[in-house]
Amino acid sequence: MSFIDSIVNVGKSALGFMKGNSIASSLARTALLGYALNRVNKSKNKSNKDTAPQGTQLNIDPDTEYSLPVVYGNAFISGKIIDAKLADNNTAMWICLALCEKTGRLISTAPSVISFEEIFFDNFRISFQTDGITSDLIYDDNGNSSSAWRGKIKVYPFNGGSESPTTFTSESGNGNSQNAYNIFPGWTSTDKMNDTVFCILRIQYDSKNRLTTIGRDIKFKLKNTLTEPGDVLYDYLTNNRYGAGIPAAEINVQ
Amino acid sequence: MANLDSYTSVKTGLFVRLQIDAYRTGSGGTYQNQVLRFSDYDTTVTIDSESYVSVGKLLNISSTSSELRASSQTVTVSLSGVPTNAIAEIIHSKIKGAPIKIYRGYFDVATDTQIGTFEQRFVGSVNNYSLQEEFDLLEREANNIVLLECASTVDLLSQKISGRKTNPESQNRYFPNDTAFDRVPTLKGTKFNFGAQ
Repeated sequence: MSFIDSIVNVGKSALGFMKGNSIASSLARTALLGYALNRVNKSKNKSNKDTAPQGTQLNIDPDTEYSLPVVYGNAFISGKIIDAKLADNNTAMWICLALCEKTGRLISTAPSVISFEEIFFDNFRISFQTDGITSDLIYDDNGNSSSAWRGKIKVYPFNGGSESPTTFTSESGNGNSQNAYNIFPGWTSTDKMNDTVFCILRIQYDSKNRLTTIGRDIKFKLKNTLTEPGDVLYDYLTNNRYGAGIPAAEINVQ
Repeated sequence: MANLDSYTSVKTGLFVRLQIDAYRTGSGGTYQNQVLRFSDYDTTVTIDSESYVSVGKLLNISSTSSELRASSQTVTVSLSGVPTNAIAEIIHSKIKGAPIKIYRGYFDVATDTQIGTFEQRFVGSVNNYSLQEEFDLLEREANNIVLLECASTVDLLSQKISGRKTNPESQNRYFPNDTAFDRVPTLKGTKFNFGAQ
């Protein structure tokens, strides 16, 4: 009998002991079962840790005392968050940024128009796909491009209320054409954002490409057709909302 | 200012235009727009197709100063000899905040014709008003004086706070039915577990 046969015999006698009805056998079976369950449990927990994303806990801090600025000419502006919502099983974040006041008319009575030129997300300029809404390549200050955030960010600009969708002038795509309350989850037709220039963003969570926050620094480059000093002064003197509210009849315009 | 060099004697008058948007004669009734026009000149004068009633010495206006740049000033307009039964009109009308304009005109004594055009002296709003009563016990009569304290437009603008803030109260002041900023206060401090499944 080889030493292999000896080992097999020892194993058989051990299993025979486990099959027995003695207290020692019962204790041995319980211990073995406990050990097996423990291993299975550990294995299960380890598996969960590896696969379930933990996410990023975000604290939104809007400012109820933030005064909407008035933009004349060209300006870079960040704005303030006025609404936020998680969607799609927490993988998509919707935010709405109020940027500035919609301005009034020129002395020639032509209405002023504020247009969106560019958007910078954490210092990366975003270009858009043909729909004019969905992110395509991003560019750094040196002009280097990356496709890391392609399709991950959607941008919906508005230049005067929820029913004034507009497009980025730097893009040739179709652009935004829907009313804001048909885009932002939970909004209704009373969420008009009257005379406010604002932007809605949808950000898709992507830990691999470090898109895990709503952006520490979002900037928009805006351009207002109201640029001449006389037009600016007139608008500021006559506007009831953000200006002096002086009746137009009391201002001698020449 | 009008050139008065060629005139041997000149007389002048102050003309007050007070526009009251909510005017009524008693405690009941509806408010109406009413423009009160009066002057300390000795006859009724027409400016821009509007007649200014002469009240003579019963009107007194505190002095104003003319400066190169627009400055903040306060002017007090006092009207004497107001009959007691007319006090109700003042009490029940909304005089505070009413726009007021004061003009000065020059006239040739010899011909009683106007020299040059009317010059605007003061533009502002009624900041406050008060009533003074002088009761004559022997005559059993009361003489009422209405004092209008007027702040110039420059003074009002320096105190004005304009602009819109990102909160529902501010938004509803300009747009009563707009609910877009309603969620801002509750959003403060809210935690979002972005990406967690």
